[in-house]
Amino acid sequence: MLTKDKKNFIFKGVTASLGIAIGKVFAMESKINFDSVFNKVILEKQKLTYAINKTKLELNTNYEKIKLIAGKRYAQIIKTYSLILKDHVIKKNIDMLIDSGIDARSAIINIINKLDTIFITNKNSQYFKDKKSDIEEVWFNVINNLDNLKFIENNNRSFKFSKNLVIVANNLTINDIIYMREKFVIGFALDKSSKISHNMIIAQGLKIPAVVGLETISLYAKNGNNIIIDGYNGHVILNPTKSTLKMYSTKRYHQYIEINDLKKIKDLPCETLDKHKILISANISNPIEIQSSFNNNEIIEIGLYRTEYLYNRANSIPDENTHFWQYFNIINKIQHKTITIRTVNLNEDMLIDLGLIRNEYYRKKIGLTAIKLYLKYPELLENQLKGILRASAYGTIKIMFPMVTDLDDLKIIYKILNNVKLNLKKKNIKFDENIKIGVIIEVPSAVTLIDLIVKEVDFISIGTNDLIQYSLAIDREYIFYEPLHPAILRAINTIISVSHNVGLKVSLCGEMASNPSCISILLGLELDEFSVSLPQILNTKKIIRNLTFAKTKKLSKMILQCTSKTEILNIMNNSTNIKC
Amino acid sequence: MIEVNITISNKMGLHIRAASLFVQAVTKYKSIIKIIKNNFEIDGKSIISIILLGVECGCKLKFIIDGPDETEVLSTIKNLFSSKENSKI
Repeated sequence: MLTKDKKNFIFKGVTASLGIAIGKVFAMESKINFDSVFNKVILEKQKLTYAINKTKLELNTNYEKIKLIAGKRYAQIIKTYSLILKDHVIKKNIDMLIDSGIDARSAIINIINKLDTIFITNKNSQYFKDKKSDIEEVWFNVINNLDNLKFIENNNRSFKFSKNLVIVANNLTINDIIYMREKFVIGFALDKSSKISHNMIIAQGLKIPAVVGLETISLYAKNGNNIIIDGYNGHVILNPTKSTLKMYSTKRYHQYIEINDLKKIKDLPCETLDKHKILISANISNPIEIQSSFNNNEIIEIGLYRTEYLYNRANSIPDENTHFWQYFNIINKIQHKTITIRTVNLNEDMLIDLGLIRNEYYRKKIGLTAIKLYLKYPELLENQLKGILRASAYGTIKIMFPMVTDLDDLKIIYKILNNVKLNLKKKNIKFDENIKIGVIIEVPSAVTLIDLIVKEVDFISIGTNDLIQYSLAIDREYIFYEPLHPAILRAINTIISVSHNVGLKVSLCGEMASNPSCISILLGLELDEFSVSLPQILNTKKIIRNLTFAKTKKLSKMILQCTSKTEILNIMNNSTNIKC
Repeated sequence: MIEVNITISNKMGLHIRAASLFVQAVTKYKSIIKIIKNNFEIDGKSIISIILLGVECGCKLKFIIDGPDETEVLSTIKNLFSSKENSKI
């Protein structure tokens, strides 16, 4: 969304990677290439041939290497990639586009994006998405080789490669991002992509500020323009005025200081200025994530362990042992810290992969969510619970059930859980008999019934990502997706106060828990545990350490009186309110 | 022109590796190879076409082979899908 204030062009998008960057635009996909209007077709075809041949050469080298190390069977995948590269149907389509005057890079991207129409398949099926990513990977190598050419070209022409480049593009591949890291790139501004896209997760890992979902920025930004990426507010400012530039320079300076400060607070307790203690735990989607963080003692507990990765690309339901070994290993890795495992909640694509539903039932708007699925395929939950319970003999594990809507759901869960427990007892297998059971409140019906639900469980977690989506009927990719909505804040308030009344602790495991403008309100609503993604742990801790619990309580009281989200946003835009 | 019907008996269907073996085996021939699934026709020498066709186990495919070396192609295809060589595809 493009807005204008005084003299600045401000593009509003979504923060994908935190931080501020000030630099010059480097536009990745200039649509018009005046230099080669006359011989453009020939030039582009030459470039394409060069890039394809170079990719072939690289694949061949890789084939020999992999064959040597892993054997012929594994090297076969490279053979397949070569075949994908040689596929004449796709080449014919790319050539046709180049003939019509499009450059080679755009032609490839165009065709890859249209695979489903060229080859007529269901573009929404997981099968297609998986296969598409294989095809993409091959052609991205070609694009990469094309871009190498482009960089050389650009260097020789009017635009000089300098430091402090901010890449502006429609979208980028992971390869692009890794490659650019070497090229003095300090920020990204993209039309598309989302915070949870893989390319942006990489950007977060590299700590390069990025704002995405800007819709039209690639049309406006020209090479060499001044640009500011404000990865804290999700804004991008093109051709800023001198005063704006100055303001952001100061902000960036503070950012450097902040990063150094963050490292210092690693070992300090997580408490407010008035000594109110808060637990910050980690959300993880795959155990690989915790390897580096653990050496740094960043993680205190795992507040949300998503287990869907176990089902990814699986051809059958994972058995009890698969589950057990995963959980057992992670317990050993994190040494006696509590792990909260969320039982599996599969989307329909995964169900098709597992062979549990057939394509013709495909594309229900919501589909079979967790509990409904367990009812239909009890072994899905049984296997997982057996694995979890067996692992619970070796460390502290809590179990958390997603998408619970009412007490009937809970009855189903407890029936299966008790059966599994009984079974293990019969076999004399040890497990934690008092294992704590919790639910994620992420469906509006569960909020309404919260007073009944709290009586049946040991802890409550709020899953705001889905709760906001279902409550406000909006997908999370849209900018209208607003956590600071009176309905959401009232819901959270109800959940926390009802739970506290019966002595239950409440955690929150959505994006909200690490959102700087939400943290003070959540703290004021007396949330006990903030469960955030790994890169956000220190940042969240720092924000909490600078807040005063008593003041946040006042702020939350005031916010709960608000009648509209505009009113709430107005209060929160005043920075003194965030830093209370 | 030869037409032949084959039912895919491999558990995984014509997945990427199998499709790759198939295309590698047939590209050296001059004949045109068409694969038909549910009235939908694709080029049998295009790996992407085969992969995206989504051929599962039990799927019935019709192969149409046309060209100077069609009989050799037929025996190659039959050999690939025969039960003995099933582990191959």
